[in-house]
Amino acid sequence: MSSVNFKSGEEVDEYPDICERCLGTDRNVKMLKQNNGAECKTCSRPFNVYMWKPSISVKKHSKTIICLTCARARNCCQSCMFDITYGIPLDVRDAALKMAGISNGTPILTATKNKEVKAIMADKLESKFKSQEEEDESSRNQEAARDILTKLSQKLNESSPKFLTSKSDRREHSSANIKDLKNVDISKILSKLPFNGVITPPPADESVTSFFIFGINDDLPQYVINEYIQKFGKVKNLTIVHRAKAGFITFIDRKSAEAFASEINLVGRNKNKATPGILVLDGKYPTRVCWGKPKPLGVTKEEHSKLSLVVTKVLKQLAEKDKKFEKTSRLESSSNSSSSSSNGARKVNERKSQAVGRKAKNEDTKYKTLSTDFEL
Amino acid sequence: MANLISDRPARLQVDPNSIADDDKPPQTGTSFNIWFLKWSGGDSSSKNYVKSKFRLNVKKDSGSTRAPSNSPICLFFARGCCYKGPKCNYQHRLPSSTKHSNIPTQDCFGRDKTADYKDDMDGVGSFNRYNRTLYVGGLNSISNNKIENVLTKHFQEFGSIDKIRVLYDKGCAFISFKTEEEAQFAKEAMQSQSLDDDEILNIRWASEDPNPHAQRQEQRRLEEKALETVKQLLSQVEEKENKRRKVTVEEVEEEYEGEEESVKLISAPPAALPQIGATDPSSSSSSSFFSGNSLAELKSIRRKILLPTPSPVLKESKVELKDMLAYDSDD
Ligand SMILES: [Zn+2]
Ligand SMILES: [Zn+2]
Ligand SMILES: [Zn+2]
Repeated sequence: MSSVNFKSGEEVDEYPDICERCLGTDRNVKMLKQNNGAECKTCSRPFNVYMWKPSISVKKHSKTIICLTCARARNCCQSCMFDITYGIPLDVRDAALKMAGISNGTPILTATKNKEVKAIMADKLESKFKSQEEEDESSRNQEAARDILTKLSQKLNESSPKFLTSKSDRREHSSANIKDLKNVDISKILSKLPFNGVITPPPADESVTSFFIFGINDDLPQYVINEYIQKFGKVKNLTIVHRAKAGFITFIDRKSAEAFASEINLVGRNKNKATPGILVLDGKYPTRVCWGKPKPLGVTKEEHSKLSLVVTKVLKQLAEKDKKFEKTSRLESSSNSSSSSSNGARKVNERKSQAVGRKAKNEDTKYKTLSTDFEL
Repeated sequence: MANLISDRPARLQVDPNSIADDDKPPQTGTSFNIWFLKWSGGDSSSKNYVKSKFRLNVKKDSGSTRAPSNSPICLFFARGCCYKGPKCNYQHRLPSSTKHSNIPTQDCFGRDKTADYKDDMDGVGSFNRYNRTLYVGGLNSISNNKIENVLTKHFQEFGSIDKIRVLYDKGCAFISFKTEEEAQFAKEAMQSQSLDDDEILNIRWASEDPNPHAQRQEQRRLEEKALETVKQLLSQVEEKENKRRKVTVEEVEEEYEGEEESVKLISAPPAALPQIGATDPSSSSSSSFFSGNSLAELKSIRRKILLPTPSPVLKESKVELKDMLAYDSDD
């Protein structure tokens, strides 16, 4: 690109690297250049600052904030620091390049905090760029850019994102911690949590407007839960402890709470009404939800970790229970065509409500066995 | 989100005449800054934490100002103390309801970021790291087991909360938002505020989480974003058209410090001169990628790419009981 010095009329060999978006929408852009006008925000060396207005209506001038060398080292705009070719954030670009198996060879000046080291590194880079300029750079760049996109598209075509960083290996994660968790006693916390609760029928006590939610995936954002439950009424309390994989939802009134419960019940993920209902959020995060008053979920990291292990275990047990239930209800329906699975569910519920008193006692012992399972 | 934007004019948060002299905190600096209600200059190390006198009420205070919809947000609106109201030149809205296109080098208030964080992790933040997480210190009565809920209640007003992690033994918490802009806004809105008690919050940027699990999670989030971005990029290629643009460069000889006023002075005389130096972006290296024959090639790539990519939604809807069983056991 050629540009002309205003005063001398000579060709200027340096032209700032500024992206189209920063230049704005006007066809004519007039720039002010201030030689060594500021310190580069990346390498701290003085550099030639350019200032311009992206459009007439904008009051504030745009300006370059990093030097040309630093911008070229990362192939970004000197003003907004987006990638100058693609107009995307640098961290996103670097992740895309890495996924396509292309590393960008230029060193990143963020490795050190020392100003002088940064400046020396930038000086070296600058001389390297100057020697490269003799080659036909523009055609080389174009080829490289095309190459990158082709590789990326091939990767994208390879079915689903299996080249994404795999979800954490929690087995390794948890086994490392299990020893530390051995002496953590959470039986008091566990005894109060309604893992055996149900989503229907609603509790007889009309003052209950809250739910216990557990099996919360670490990737499930709290706002997804919040946006979903707000559809049913005003939310009074929302406590989500990701580390414990559990939380509580309290609605402002019973009406909203019952609307929420019947929605989970109707969606019908879980045919077995004797176990907590299944709520799938964001299309990919299954959770279990049942009626229950807010209870403490522990305060230390260890208590949370141990609780999350118990939650995982309970989820497996519940899933097995549901499986068994489906099998038996299928058998029932085949032998007796009039008795549907929902009928079966009702029966189970009846049996359950008759045994409420007995259940309360059982709970404690059940969780004791649960926690010993983890004391490997 | 669109219906959040009302046409009602912004409410005047503070009457400029109402700031009484004896409200000013004791002098610790060299000059009194009416915006911060603090003395600035002097010794900056002895920060004294005083509860903010103002607090943003999103529902009451948001509204239209003189600012166009793509301009940055008013910092004093976030702090609850803009005395300009509808006459303000910045927006009086939450980041999620503005069209302000954020660039990595500035925050949602249009302030320039720096390469590194300040040593105390306060301030505008760094352009080298996309940071959605705030450190919230100074929590009281943390043992009551309701702190997650209290934090949710107060911080949710300003943005979508991703995750809250409370360190009970240290009296602090880490709050992650959906976007960095929401974190920027919440940081200003809740700085030196109280929750339900009389604590005074001290909010900073969170340092990178050293937990390998959290780092992997962040890496995956970035990769998913990268995938999405590349797909978008390829679909845009077709629509991209070449624009011709004229750029003139003018050298400034005298030294100057200020920004806007001084620039006006210098740019005034040469405006009468004819503009030289027409450039064609298609020949510049910056836009070479989208020009010429590479365009045709990209079109063919795009066709390849858009068709066979399986829709993730289809797969997601098939979550069944066995997924509950498999949950956590195989990942
Ligand atoms: Zn530099
Ligand atoms: Zn730019
Ligand atoms: Zn304002």
